[in-house]
Amino acid sequence: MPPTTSQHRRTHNLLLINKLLDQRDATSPFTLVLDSLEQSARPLIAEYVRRAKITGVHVFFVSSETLSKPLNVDVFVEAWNQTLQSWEKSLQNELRRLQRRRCLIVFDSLYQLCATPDSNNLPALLSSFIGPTTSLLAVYHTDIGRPSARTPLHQNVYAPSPLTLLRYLATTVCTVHSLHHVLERKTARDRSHIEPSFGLAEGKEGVLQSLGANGSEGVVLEMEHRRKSGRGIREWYYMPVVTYRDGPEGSGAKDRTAVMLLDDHPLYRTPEHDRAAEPSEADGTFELGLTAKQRQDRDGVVLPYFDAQTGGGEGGRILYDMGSEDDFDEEEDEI
Amino acid sequence: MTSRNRIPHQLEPYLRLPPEASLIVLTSTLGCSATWLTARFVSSLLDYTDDEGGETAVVLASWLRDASWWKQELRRAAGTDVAKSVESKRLTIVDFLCNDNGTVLDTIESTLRTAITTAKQGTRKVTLILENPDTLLALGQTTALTLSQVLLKLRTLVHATAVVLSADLPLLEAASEHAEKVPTPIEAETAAFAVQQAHQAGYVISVRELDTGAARDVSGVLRVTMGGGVYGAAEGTLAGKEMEALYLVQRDGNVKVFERGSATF
Repeated sequence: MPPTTSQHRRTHNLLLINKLLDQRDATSPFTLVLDSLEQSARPLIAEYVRRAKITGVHVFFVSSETLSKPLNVDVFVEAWNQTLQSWEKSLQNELRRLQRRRCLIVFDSLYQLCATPDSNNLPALLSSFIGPTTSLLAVYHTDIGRPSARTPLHQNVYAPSPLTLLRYLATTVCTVHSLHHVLERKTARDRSHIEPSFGLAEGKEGVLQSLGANGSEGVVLEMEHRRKSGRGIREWYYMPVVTYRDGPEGSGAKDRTAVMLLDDHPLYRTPEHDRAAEPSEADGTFELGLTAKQRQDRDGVVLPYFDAQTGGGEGGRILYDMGSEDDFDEEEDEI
Repeated sequence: MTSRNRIPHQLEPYLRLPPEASLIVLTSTLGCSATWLTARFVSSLLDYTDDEGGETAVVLASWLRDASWWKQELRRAAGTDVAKSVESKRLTIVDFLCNDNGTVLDTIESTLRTAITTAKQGTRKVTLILENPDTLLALGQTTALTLSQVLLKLRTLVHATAVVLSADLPLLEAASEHAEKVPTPIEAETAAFAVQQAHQAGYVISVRELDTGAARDVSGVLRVTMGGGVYGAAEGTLAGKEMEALYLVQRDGNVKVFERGSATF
C-alpha cells in the first residue's frame, strides 16, 4: 500500500473513531455493536461509558441481562425485572427531565427486546429515544439466533430478521473480534491456508468457545460508519482493554485509550508489509541515492580532460569550487 | 481421604468461591458428563473459609438426577460429608426430578427462593448451582427469555451462580451463523439460552469427548475459556487463565487431569 494512503487513513480514521467514541457533535445517533461469544462487546461499551463520564454525558444503562450496575453508569434500568411499558415510560420521563443535557442510552442486549412478544415494533421503540442530545448504543449478540416465532405466522415469515433491520437503521455498525482469532486468520491467509473457524462456527460437539476468546489485552473493532451524505467508511481498529486493576475509578481514567489502526498493530504487521512501505535502498548500510543538491554539485565538477581540451590546462588538476558544506582541511586540500 | 485431595490441582483456581455476582457456566455433552466436576465444585465451595471466618453454603438444584443420587455422588467422588452439611443447612439439594411441580416455573422460583433464604442464615455466602435448567426448554415449558429473567432474579439473592448446560451439537446448531434451515422452537430456545448465559459467564468450563473417539485412558477434554463476564468483574478477581487438558475419571471416582501428550500416570 502506498505510504500516502496509510498516512491518510491514520489521520482521518483515527480522528473519526475518537469522535465516535466521544459521541461528539452527535456523529452517530445510533451505534450498533455486534458481538459474539468469541469476543464480548463489554470492553467497547466500557470505553464508551468511560469517555461519556469524562465529557459529562449522562449515561443510562438499560439492562436485559446484566445483573449489577457497571462502572461509571449514572442510571441503571433493570429491564429484566419489569415490563417493557414500565421501564420505557420511566426512561422517557427521565429523558424529558434532562432535556438540555447530552445523554447516552446503552442497551446491553437487544435480543430480549426482539423476543418480547409485545415489542413488535423495535425500530419505532428505539427511535423514540433518539433526540438531538440523545444517542443510542446497543449490543446485539450475533450468535444468539433469531427469536422463535411467537407472533402470527404471516408477520414473521416475510419480515426481515431483527438483525437485518437493526443493521439498516444503525448509523455506525461496530463488530468486535478477538485479537487472537484475527491474528490466527491472518497467519493462515498469509500462508495460503484455509482460514480457521472458532467457537460455535467450528461445529464441534460440546464446544461453545475457542481458546483465545475474550482476550485480556485488546479488542479488534471492525467499524462501518455511514455519513449523512450516505458515504460509508470502513476501517479496522485495535483497542487495548483498560483493566480496572490498573487503578480504581478516577485515577488514570482521565486519559483516553489509544485506539490504533489494526494495520499498525505490531503483531498484525507482517515483515513484507514493512519492507514494501520503505524505499528499496534501505536494505544497504549506506545511502546510494542522490539528492537534487548533490546531483547539481556533481554536474558542476569540471573533469581534467575537459579542461585540457580548452588549452588552458595545467596538467591533470581537478578544479573544484568549494561549496558551503565542504570541510576545508589545510593539510590535505590545496587550491 | 479429604475432599481437598480429590480436586486435581490444575482445576483448583476455577473451583474456588467465585467473585460476587458472578456466573459460571459448565457444559457437558451426552457422551461426557460433568457431574464429577459439579461434585468437586460443591465440595470445594463447602471447604471454603475466608479470613473473617464467614461460612459458605450451596444450593444444588437438579432436573436430571434425584437427591439420593447426588448425595451418593458427592460422597463418593468428592468425599463431602453430606450428612453433616445437610444437617447444618450448608448444603441444600433441591430435587426437581421427583418433584411433581419441577417443571412449573413459578413453583421452581419460589422453591429456590425459600431454599436460598434457609441456606443463607443471615450472612452465609450462598452459591446456587443449577443442573440442566435447559431441560425446561426441551420440555417446552418456558422460553429462553423467561428462564433467563427468572435466573437473573435468583442471582440477585445469592453470592454467585453456576449453571450446568448441555452443549450437544443439535442444541447449539441454531446459534451458529451458518444455520441454513429455520430452527425449531426448541432448537432456537436452547441455543439462545446457552449462548446468553455464556455471554454473562466469567468462566465457561466445558467437557467434551476426544475428537479422535473413545480411549481407555482418557475420559474427555476439559476446556476453560473466558466468557463475556470476565470484563465485568470490577476487581478482576477471576484468578484462572484459559486452559485445555485431558482428564480421566477412574473407577474409584478419582480424577486425573493432564496435558495432551503427557503420560497419565
